[in-house]
Amino acid sequence: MMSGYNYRSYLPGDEEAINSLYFDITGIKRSTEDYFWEWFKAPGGPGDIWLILAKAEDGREEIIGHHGIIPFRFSRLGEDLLFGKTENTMVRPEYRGKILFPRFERRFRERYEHRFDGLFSTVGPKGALRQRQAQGYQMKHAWIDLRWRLRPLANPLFIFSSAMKKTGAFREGSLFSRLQSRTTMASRYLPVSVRCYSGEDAKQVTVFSDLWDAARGKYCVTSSRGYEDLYWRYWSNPHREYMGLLLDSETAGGGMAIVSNPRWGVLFIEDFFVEYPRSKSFKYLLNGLLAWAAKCGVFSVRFIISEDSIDWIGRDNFFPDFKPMGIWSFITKNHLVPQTNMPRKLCARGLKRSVTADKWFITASVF
Amino acid sequence: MVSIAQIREAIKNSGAAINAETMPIDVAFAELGLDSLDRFNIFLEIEVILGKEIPDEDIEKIQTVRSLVQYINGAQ
Repeated sequence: MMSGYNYRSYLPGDEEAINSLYFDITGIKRSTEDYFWEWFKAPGGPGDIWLILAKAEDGREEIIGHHGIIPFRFSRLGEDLLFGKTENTMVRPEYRGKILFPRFERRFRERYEHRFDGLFSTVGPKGALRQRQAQGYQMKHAWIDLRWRLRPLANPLFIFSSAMKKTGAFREGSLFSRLQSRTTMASRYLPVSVRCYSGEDAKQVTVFSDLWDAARGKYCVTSSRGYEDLYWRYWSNPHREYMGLLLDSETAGGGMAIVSNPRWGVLFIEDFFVEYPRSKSFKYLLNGLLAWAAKCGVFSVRFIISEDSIDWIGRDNFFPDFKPMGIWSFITKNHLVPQTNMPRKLCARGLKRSVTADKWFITASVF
Repeated sequence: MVSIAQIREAIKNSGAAINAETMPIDVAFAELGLDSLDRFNIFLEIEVILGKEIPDEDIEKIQTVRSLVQYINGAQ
């Protein structure tokens, strides 16, 4: 028998009960180390973690709900900003009809939003998106799932069998091990050099953050790619292996891509930026990245990005021009299919600094 | 004393995804397809009538229109 509800922020020792709640609701096991990495190691500072507790008549308390915000360092035209990502908002099913979760979220938000210039979520079930909307989040900008097929689809069986035989990209991990610490040209038609860094190699260098320092002043609201950000988000990520690619061209300048290990021949671009955005150099270096992927035997490339990022960079720059690269026949289709919207909310601090919720450059780096 | 008609009006004003005029008064909100956000918005309207926030521990007791009317009339 419950005698009431209480709420408070995280206290050391809560992590086991939070992970247990997370497992009961999502079915995903999370270790204590993974929890600390996600909630306490972000360069933006420790997460804002709020718990809802049900009080039993004997005074014992059980964690029945969780709402958290992970700080993400952002920047706008070189100015540092701090955004919060809504994460792990969950309530035990048996309590969903007994409490008013939006009331709790409002109380929590009032306690943490002063820390941030803005808040955002990535994706979630319809109900969760409604909850964010009720808290004042805007839902104007869709996620776009860009897919470039680098081989024809006319005969899938042929593709499958030949790819299985000829490309190492189908075997998980093999592309990474083959390319590690190598510099190759994107194609003989496209003078873009691509230098590959494994996560361990990338920890030792500052080439990516140096490039970001040179580029960030030209970017609208976007996630930060400083050394600490990349170290946390990618190089020390316990869930996935990533590879950093440094692109360079005499005509287009430098660019960075972070890719995750290909699965079934599909290469996922987690993040991509160039030194000179909103120019032909974006298209040139993206062409280079795709040509490089085709040369490596990758079947298809995916890149998730917000719709306003595409508009900000220029839509034309996302439609590669492969003919001069000599691989035009491999390209069959581009997809620009609107997906779920990305909830965003500006806090008083961001509004004071004239930050707007539009024209952001957001990639899967915030997932 | 608050009436069922006043509660129906409050539910209508809350924007909950239900026909407030015809919703049965003895069926639980959850069974009528109202989620926590709908219920939250209904309670916000009710709290305007009441002039105070309904305590968290009382929310569980209020699952139907009838129990809502009884709660308000008992609280006033």
